[in-house]
Amino acid sequence: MGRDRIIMLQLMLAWVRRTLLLCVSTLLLACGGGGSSNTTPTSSKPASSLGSAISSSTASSSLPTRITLTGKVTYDLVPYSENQPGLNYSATIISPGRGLLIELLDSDNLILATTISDDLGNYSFNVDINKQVKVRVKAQLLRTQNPTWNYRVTDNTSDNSIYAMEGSLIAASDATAVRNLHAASGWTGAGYTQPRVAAPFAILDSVLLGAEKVLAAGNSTDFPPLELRWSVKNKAADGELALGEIGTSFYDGSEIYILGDENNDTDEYDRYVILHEWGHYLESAFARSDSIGGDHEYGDKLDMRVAMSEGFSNAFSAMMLDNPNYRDASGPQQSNGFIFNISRKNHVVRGWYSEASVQSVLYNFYTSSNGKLARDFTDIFSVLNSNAYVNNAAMISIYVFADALRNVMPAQTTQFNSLLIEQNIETTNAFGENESNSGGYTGSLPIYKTLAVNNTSVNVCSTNRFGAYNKLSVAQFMVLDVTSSGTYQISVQEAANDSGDSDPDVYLYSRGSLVGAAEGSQIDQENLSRFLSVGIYVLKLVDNRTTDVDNSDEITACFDVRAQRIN
Amino acid sequence: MKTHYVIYVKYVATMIVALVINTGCADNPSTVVDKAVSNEKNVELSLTSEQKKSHLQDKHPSHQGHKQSKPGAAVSLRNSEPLYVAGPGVYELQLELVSTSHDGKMVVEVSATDGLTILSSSHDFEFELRERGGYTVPLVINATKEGRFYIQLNISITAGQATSSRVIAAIVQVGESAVKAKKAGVPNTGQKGEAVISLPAQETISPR
Repeated sequence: MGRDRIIMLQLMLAWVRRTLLLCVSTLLLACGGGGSSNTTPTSSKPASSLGSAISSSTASSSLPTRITLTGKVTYDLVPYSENQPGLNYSATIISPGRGLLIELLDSDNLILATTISDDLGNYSFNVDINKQVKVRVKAQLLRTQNPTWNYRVTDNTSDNSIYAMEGSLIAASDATAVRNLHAASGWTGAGYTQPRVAAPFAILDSVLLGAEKVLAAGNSTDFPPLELRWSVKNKAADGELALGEIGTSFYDGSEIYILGDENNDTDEYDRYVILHEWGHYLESAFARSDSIGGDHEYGDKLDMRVAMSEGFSNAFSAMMLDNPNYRDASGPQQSNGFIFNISRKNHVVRGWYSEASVQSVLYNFYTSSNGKLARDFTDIFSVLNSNAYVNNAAMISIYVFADALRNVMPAQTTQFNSLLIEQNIETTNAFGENESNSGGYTGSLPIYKTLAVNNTSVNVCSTNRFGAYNKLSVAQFMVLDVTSSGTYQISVQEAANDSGDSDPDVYLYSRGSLVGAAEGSQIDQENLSRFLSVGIYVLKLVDNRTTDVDNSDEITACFDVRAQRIN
Repeated sequence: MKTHYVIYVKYVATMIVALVINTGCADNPSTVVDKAVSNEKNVELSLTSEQKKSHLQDKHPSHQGHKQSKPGAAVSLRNSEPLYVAGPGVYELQLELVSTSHDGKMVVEVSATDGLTILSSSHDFEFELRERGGYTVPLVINATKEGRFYIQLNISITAGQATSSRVIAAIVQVGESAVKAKKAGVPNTGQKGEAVISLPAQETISPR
């Protein structure tokens, strides 16, 4: 944050300096215009030798000592092929480098001035004439007016250093006053044989697209700073981040990591992927996500928290690009990959546990013009950003979104409900009460079991039948309504139908925030005691074995859960 | 605004793991061995404490710090931990894939980075998906030098009219297992101590 503040201060100082110079120039011109004699250029800086020579030859009374240096920043944007999943390098578009931090450096690499490129990629600096300078374009989107943002593309395999492209060191003069800088893709016909300079700028342009739309949707809160970490070494191996072994492109709640492995999987031009991950950041920054992450795909039956987050992020990327065809290029020469249609409604797996259903509901609501402006992100953003969503007692799922939407824009309830019904999702409250779609496992219903505080047991089952970790019914949820403050004890015991050595763990949440957890290693049982104030809590139970993706055995373990006040 | 946790919690559950290593494969008639290969070496598989720790982090209860990854085919390595081999030489190994998809077909194309050569006659594999299936990719590789290398699996799953894909890389550490971050170029430290990787612009300079 300190560095960001310094940069912002620098930008303000540059503006003040430019304004003062303009004022001085205006005053000088005014003096000249008034017929004053013996007018000489006024400068606090010593004239350069070249400047002196020009001065003597021109003998002008208005010899400039400063020059305006201008230019345009562009980068190669590689689009998708029209009829295939991969990238089409032959259709590369030269796009403006918008909103980028641009620095003017001297021969010692000292920053003389900074500015931000405009929507066309244009920039300008005032600089001493004949001073040796070069222009450096940082891979950094910086917005200093409210709401601010600061997005940087860095290299996780090189101490998170920031990328930049820079021009040559040349004396500033009329002859060198226009300096256009282009970031090339590095593609030379069959591969990347040249530096991939465009990649960080392509990533940032996707981010800017999202940020501008969120701004247009009415966001007035500063965007939290974010690093997007990309490297040509970032590959699909799961290991050391500093070696580029990032596994896949992902957001970890702090940074976004992006693949860069040519001929395997590289995502700098996969705008859907960038915006999908930025969508996760958006949830974290301005809404709420209770997702536990993990691998996911279109046909999965997922934990409802994961289905919501992934379905939203898929839909978000399509909304930002105003194109429902989600694409991800990969393979040799980035010529393969896959496409799926976010707006599609006819899915084999439909329900509150399906990211395909969530994305379909949200995207089709976005494009609808029924009583609202079509393709306006304002409606969805206002729901995500609402108190009803952010502070909901339930875990974040499509039900919470629907519940908050009914609060924020009641006139849209009917339309949104019809989209839910198309996806076999009950139109109910934030807790999914009375949902009848079990996903093929009756133990998944009700979605929240009620845990009374009178020591009456409730039976819940954790299973990996749909897959481990983040799949449907690995975690079971219970609602605990605490009406009087005190210390409560929650006890878990595997029910008679023994599944082997189970390892139940419990987690207690208040409005999505963890307030207690018990992860003991006792077999078949678990206990948690916690002082709780009045409120509604969600208790999550998992058999730790069902979170283990190494475990190829199908496990279903059922537990009796009790809660009681102990003082 | 929520707090952004800086801690990166490795999410191993996304990459289930298992590199099934054949030891003494010459005596094992069930293994697939390229006949041209001789002097296969026993492969030593060892887990570092860092790798073991990553399993524990699956129990992290908070939603923060988890990998929220891009969509892709539902397939992963049963064991994503690095395969440690003593030194250059020829090794036989089996990569085991798992998938939660149980309909359709999975196609796997295998390649390797510099430092590894795949000696197996086949680099392409095809599997019919089934319930709770595990899918073995048998390979014979020649590690030509010490270092950290990768076997890349380009995987696509087609079920009905839908196709999704995913690239997975298995790590092969040949020789010294100490993991040291390599530096990609020399970052420039400019003003304020910010390290910058300066890439060359295509610059056009002209008069106004």
